[in-house]
Amino acid sequence: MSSRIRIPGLVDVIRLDEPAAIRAIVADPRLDRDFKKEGPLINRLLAGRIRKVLRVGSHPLPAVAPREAEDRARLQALLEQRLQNAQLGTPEQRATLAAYVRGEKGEGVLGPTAQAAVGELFAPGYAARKDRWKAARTLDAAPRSFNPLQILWWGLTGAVDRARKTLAAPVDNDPAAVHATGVAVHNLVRGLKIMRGLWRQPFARESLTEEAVICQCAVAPANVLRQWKAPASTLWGEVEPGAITLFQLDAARYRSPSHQIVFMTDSWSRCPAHHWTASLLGAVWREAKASAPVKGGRS
Amino acid sequence: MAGSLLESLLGGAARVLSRIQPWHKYPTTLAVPTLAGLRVNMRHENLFDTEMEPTIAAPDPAPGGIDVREARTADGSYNDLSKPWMGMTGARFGRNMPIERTFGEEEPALMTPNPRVISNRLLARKEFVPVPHLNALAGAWLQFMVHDWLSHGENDPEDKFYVPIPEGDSWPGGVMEVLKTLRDPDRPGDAGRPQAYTNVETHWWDASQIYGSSLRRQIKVRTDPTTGQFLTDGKLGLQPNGHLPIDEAGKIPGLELAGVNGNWWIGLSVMHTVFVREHNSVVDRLKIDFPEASGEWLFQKARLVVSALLAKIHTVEWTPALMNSPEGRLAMRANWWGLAGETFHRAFGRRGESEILFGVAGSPVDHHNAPYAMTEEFAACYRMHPLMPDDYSFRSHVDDRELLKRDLIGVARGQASSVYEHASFDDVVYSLATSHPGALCLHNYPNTLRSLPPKRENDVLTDLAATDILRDRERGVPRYCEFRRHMSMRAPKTFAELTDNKEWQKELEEIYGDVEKVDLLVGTLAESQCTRNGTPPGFGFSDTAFRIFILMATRRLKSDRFYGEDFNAKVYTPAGFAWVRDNGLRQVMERHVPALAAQFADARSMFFPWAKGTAG
Repeated sequence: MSSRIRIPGLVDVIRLDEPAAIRAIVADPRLDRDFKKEGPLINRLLAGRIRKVLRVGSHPLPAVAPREAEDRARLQALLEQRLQNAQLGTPEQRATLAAYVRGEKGEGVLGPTAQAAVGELFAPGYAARKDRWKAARTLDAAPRSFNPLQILWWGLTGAVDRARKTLAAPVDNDPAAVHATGVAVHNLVRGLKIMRGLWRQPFARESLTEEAVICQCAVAPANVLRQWKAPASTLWGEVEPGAITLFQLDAARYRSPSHQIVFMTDSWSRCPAHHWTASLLGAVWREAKASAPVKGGRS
Repeated sequence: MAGSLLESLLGGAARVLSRIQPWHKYPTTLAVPTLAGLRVNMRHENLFDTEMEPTIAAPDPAPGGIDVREARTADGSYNDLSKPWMGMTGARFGRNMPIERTFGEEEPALMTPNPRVISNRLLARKEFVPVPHLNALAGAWLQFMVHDWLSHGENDPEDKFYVPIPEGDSWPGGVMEVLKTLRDPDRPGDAGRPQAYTNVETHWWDASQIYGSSLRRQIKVRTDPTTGQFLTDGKLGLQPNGHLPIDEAGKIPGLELAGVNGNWWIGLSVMHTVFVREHNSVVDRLKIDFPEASGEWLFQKARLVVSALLAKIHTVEWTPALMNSPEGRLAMRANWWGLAGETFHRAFGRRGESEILFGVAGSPVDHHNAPYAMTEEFAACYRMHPLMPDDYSFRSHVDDRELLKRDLIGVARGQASSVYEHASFDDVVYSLATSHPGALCLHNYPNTLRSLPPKRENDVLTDLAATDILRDRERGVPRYCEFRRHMSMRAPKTFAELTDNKEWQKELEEIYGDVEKVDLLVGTLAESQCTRNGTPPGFGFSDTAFRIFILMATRRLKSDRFYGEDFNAKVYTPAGFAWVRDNGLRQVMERHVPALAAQFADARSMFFPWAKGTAG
């Protein structure tokens, strides 16, 4: 259900969770990721936070880079091409993730292992380390948190800057790699948690095809933000520059779990790792099934 | 939650009350609002679209030269003027379950338990279990309606399932071949989604079983069988004796012609004959008011009237007969007339837009959460083959003397028309109306359908019961427990919670082992004997199927422009609109089988058994 929250001077956010509406509006050139401090107060705060947190040096992370940013499209296409046939984590990483799915390993291994599998794409030998995983959690939470104490703590301790440095160091300050190992990895982790849930249901384990598992486990970021950079007349009324549109991809995915929604594959802002992510999820499921102890039972 | 405050309140209340006990355990005053609330919730949570950028041919903007604003097109296009493809022939089936849960099963689950074992041990009819309060016209009507709404069409001749045959089974060849359902090719945007299938009929409640789902078929049924000429007076073709024409171009000798004549049997022959005659009567009536109107115009208006009459009969007569309880009757009558009732409607007309107060018919169109389409789950819930008896006795309506006895094969396909050589049309109607359909329960699946001979050359022997099981698994219809959870219903945790019948519990346990694995069809038949969460008292079908029906039966009306804003005297003509309002199956039968008036005079519903013999 689409809706608009608008309090003049304070906030102006259009929320979209209808797949068709998202598909239709995502191409509008007036909607961009060039987050500027304009519009009502909360919009300005959000835009400022994104600009400040999701960057490496002076470069925004690719997921918040403006549409016309120099080299953005070229680098996105290159990365997408490179990930088409990239290794799906190391055999050890896949085995660990499969063991997690089967419930043989605890939650503690999931984040670092998934992060290492992603990091491997950018820096061979990327190690699974707790401090890196902690840094990823901080970087992911920082733009979204509205907890004043948490924000104050981060401000006082410089935790966000430190997290960014922790993530940037092993990947040679590559913004795409920092985004992948610090932000996007959380979607993979959520997907693997869903997979573990499926594994716990014996009948689902037997009956689901690999395609079905991937469909259920390939999750989108819960929300994706865009900012209006020009006035527009929309279904939800007139909007001014600075107004924000929130694509509620998780909700949209429930209605239409296609790659078009989950990875926005038909959009200029598509996830370059769509093929790799789906393939890794499939590989982990296969490995979990292949390594499962054989049990007797009726046929 | 979308919708009005009233809807939100009903939805919330239904959620709370359903957690305590099923809706039918409450008194009528609470049960009916709970049903309304369940429908509100399902409209929000159980409608999913499968159409990714439809690529079916863009419909002709003026198909057949008719004005699409005031007539139904042959292929169902232009019902929704903003999305002309919606509900047309070839559009995909939608879903009532979240899309990610609708992938077809793969082996070994696909064949576990073996569908043939289920057919043999759980479904096969041991002895005919009738429904004493219904007549066999009820089963015929159901199939008549289903043929209007949906068909997956011919299967894929290139792709087969091979069902292993259990030891000791007499099935020839040691393996059962079942052709797979023809899949709709992938479209842009389908990546990551489950396989989709298309409906070869129009999805709308537009009597396409009578008129066909293509212009070509429509022309065929509008042809005079005697002269071979197109009927320019707007009527449908009938033989001089009032029987349906024979489909001379068909591959099955003796098969009667209709908009849809697949899976034909004598019950369908009766329904089609009666409503083809009804169409021609409507044309005659309209001709009185519009003597200058063209035959095409008369045909189109008569089609609107007959379609609406069928929808009305189904809503206020057939369904209440199968849901024979005060709540069932009230809920279904309210669907058409509203809680204000028929008397209010006749006195004052529709006084507002509210579907609850004044009925769904005539209320504003709303597709709710997805474009209108029949769904795979709806198709699955309408697998009601146990309604069919295996044996048929045709008797004289004058003295109840037996004229002819045949098995199901003897009254099916091309054999149906040969029945009239031994019994008159009136006798056939009388015979069906005074016999009973089978009950929807385990061990009552017609054995004839479990060993169906090939229809034509290159066909194979078919076990329809095993095929029904396999189809749901193939098309990703969740199994019984998961299905119920998605419908916000309690799922049984044990076989004892699924059914009270101890013998069935034991059999189910032996075959399935785990209640989570019970197939939807088997579960709905098993719950017929479950006092806790099963079939409501007086109902002929399961509560599980009923939930889908209350969503989809309303949706068939609510999404269709011709039952929405355009359900009025202007579009239908004053005489046509009055025809729908004033007629029901009783009046239809009075017109077309008047000799039986004495037999059905005292029947409270035309789907209850009629009086035998001369009835005084």
